[in-house]
Amino acid sequence: MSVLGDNGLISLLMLSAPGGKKRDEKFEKDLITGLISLILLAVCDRSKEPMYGYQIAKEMEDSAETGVALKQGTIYPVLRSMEKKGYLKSHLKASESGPPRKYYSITGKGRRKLEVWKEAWYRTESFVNSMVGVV
Amino acid sequence: MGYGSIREYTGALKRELAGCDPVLIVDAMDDAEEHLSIMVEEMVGSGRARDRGKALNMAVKQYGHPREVARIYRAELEEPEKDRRGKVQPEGKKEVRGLLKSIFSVYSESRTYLVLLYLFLMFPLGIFYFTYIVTGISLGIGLVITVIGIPLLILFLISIVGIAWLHGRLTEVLLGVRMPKKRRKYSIEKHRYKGVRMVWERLKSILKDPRTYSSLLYLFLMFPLGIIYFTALLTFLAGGIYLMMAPLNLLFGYYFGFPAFGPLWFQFAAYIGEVALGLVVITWTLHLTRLFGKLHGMLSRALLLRR
Repeated sequence: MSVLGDNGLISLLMLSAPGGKKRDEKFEKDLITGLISLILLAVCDRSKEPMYGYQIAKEMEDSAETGVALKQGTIYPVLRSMEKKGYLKSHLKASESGPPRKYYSITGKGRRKLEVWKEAWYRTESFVNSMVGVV
Repeated sequence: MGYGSIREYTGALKRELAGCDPVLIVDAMDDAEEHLSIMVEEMVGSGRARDRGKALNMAVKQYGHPREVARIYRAELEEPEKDRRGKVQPEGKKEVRGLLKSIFSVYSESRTYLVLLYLFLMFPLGIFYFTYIVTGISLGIGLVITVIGIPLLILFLISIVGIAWLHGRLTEVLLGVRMPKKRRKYSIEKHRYKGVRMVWERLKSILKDPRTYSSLLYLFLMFPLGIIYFTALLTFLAGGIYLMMAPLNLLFGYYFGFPAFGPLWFQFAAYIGEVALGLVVITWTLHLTRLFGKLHGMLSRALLLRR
């Protein structure tokens, strides 16, 4: 919850909004995809059932109290990339209306990675907070 | 910037991803289609949007601008340039070792044997596809004057799509090129139609899709290509093995390779030479196998993937 509901995180994600003045694209990309990876793994880990992309996006939207969420289209490439790395596994299931849906669930490797990432996130968060002066 | 249909959005996304791996493009389009169609259904169903057009544009706003979405696909899934080129070659002695390694690594890589299996399999498969295509087309066209000719041709084309998909799966496993995982989805917004109308819409999209015909061409090409691969590889491999068996002449009489006559030392020297030559031929054949596999993979992607 703390990962999702964090205001600081949401404002970081807002960096991805188009427009803006000077932008360091490489830095933004790494930052955004890194954070999305962490969030997605956490969401998949919490869920008991495999979830498809829209459900995951919905879950993230509901958890973000500020109501500002990242662009939903950006979670799919990250899901695919984490599947490629073996952190998630997926299967296709036909749906009654529309195209088949791709259901994702976390793997053992993904859970271990999540622990490492969480650790890194907490360290970064407290470091940034201490530097910026947020309690 | 309004989008009239999901297809229009995925089209824009495809343009933003121009130059990427075709599989990545298809994946990205599938993701967008899955997500947007669920959102549109939900918005219309819950009454949040008056009509599909409105719902789609609201959905797109949340999904993200194609450029923005494409950027993340590129960042996450495109292989970096340096990985494709391989590692930088070390200098001096190591260069020689690198060269030797690049020549003989074909033996230790399992991919070589998978590709070899695939290319040999293409011979019987090519004959099967050829017979099937020729029978299907001639039977269909021959019967066009009766009632069943046209439906027969349509059924034939549908079966071609299925066979091409199956062959694509085989190609991915054995050649290691990425091919479509899902079967093609016809008529993107097919849930709009029900019953007979839906079947008709799906049929229409199969018949209109240029990939149906490129798949047909691909399966047809399998026949001559299968013969070429089979003959070339078998000849060279058998030739190489035959040469390498030359020393057995010393034991069993002159059955293998080029028989050598004269003093024993000369025979030894000649046979060592033949073994070396056989090794060169076999190594070269394995490289040829990999080259065929690569070229065939490119052909498969060109003809079987959605453009």
